[in-house]
Amino acid sequence: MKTRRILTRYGLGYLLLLPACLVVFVFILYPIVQALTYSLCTVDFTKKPKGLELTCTFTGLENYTRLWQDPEFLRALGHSLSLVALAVPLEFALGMGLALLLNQRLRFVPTLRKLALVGWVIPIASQVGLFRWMLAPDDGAVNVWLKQIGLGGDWNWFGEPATAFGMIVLMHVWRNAPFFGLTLLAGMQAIPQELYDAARIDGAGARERFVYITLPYLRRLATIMIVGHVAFTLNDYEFVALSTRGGPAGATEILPTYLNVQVWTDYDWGYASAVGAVMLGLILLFVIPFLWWQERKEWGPS
Amino acid sequence: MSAMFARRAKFFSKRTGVALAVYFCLGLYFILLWGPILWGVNASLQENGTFTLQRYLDFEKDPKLKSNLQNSLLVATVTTLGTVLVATLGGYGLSRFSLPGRTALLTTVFSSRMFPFILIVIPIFLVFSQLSLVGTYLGVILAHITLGVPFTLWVAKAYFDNVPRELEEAAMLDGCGRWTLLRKIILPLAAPGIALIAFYAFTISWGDYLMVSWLSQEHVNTLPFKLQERLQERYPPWESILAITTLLMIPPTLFFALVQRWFVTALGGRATR
Repeated sequence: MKTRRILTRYGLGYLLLLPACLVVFVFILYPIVQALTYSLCTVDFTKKPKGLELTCTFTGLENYTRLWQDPEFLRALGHSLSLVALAVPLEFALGMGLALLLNQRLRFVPTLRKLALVGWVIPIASQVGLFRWMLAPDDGAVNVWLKQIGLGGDWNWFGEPATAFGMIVLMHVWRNAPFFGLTLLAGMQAIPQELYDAARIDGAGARERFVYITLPYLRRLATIMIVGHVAFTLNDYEFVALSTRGGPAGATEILPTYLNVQVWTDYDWGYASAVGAVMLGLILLFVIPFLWWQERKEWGPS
Repeated sequence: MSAMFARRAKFFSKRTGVALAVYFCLGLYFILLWGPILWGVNASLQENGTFTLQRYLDFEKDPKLKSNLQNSLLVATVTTLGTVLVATLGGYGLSRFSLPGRTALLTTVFSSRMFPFILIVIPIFLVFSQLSLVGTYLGVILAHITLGVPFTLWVAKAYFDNVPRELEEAAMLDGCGRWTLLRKIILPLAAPGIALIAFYAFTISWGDYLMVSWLSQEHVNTLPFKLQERLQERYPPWESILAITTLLMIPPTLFFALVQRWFVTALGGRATR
């Protein structure tokens, strides 16, 4: 009886949501569960005329115990975490700087605001193409220019272990700092101007106004941005896949590329899934406290 | 204008100093941001110092390159239509019906945007290969819709939340059916949101390399895949790479120029929500 009432009352609503739910459940949640199952198995294949036939032999936590004894995995994990620890704070700091600059009431600044997101709009593949071209080892533009001002000019930016990882960080920052900037700018412009006027009357300087008005108002937005970009930075496969492919000598191997190697070089799908499960775990470590915090903010006293 | 001059005269030295510093920093920022792009585009149009469109005409001559471009356009267009349909229907459902389980669904969708898609693609690949969907347009398009839906569903819901319910109720009292209501009132009011969704879905699909690298094969490969092949060559052919790079940049940039005024408002909406 109750089911029927719910159906007539909400039937259309559920019907409208059906395609979206299918996508979320069939293509995101179910594969996640499936992949977590693989991570507890050794996955074997037999090639059938029509596709692959796979068998899962349950091995418990063996893949995970192997992970902790695998120096290459630990190195990839370290690289992924360093990438997050370097790129996200830089993106935030540069974005905040850009937001403050673009928040000035000066001529041309409104035009510049419109031009600031271009790096975030172009495909990652394009960005890598441009960077690899500019930073090409022999006659790349940057090396030619460095030669002219007498700073060497024979750097193999993407090919040397010493610089390759820095290039990955650089590409992340170049892409995402302006996005941080424009989002924080939008946040700044939503802060009531009266607050600043009142603070000015009370004798607060620019620094105090920033610390006591701007920052607290931006906290929520900044948290959303940081959580999202921690996830993006941990997940992103494309920057490394298109530039160094984890090399030279593993200097830029991160979790997503290591997963890829496990699948396509070693055909160890169970082990690869365990690598992915660690990625998922790391992300949930960031997302769950955030969701909990957001919930409290929404229902509790503001 | 005169007020501005008066203010400027009053704080002349300090304000000018600040303005100069601001312009200097912004100048540096925008050189670093736009420099590589303009430089690359310019270089793709030159041969030994003279202007040429040769690299782009090569697309006509190279049947593989041409098919990569056509595949990119086809996949991105269908993905955009599909995502817009799925997200607007779902967003409207989420916004207008207080369905049991709505909060749980929203939280799931919000988090799933941050899940590692490289983990998700493992089972998708295995299932698709059993269904013979690997190396087909349908497989790639389904994967691209999956990339876009979590975020766009949120955008759609937020936009429909901003269309006042009273407006719908008034129209319904005047004898407007659900379908007319949707076409004549809701869709026009939510149009900016739909434009943003289309932009996002298109950009994600057009630029995607991850899904294509797993799920596509020769005759379905898109431009980013081609670019990757060229970049991995021992001596990368920079002229061709720059042409592909430029071609890849154009559609998302134009699309963004169209939706940009709504985009900035949407960012602001996140701030005040």
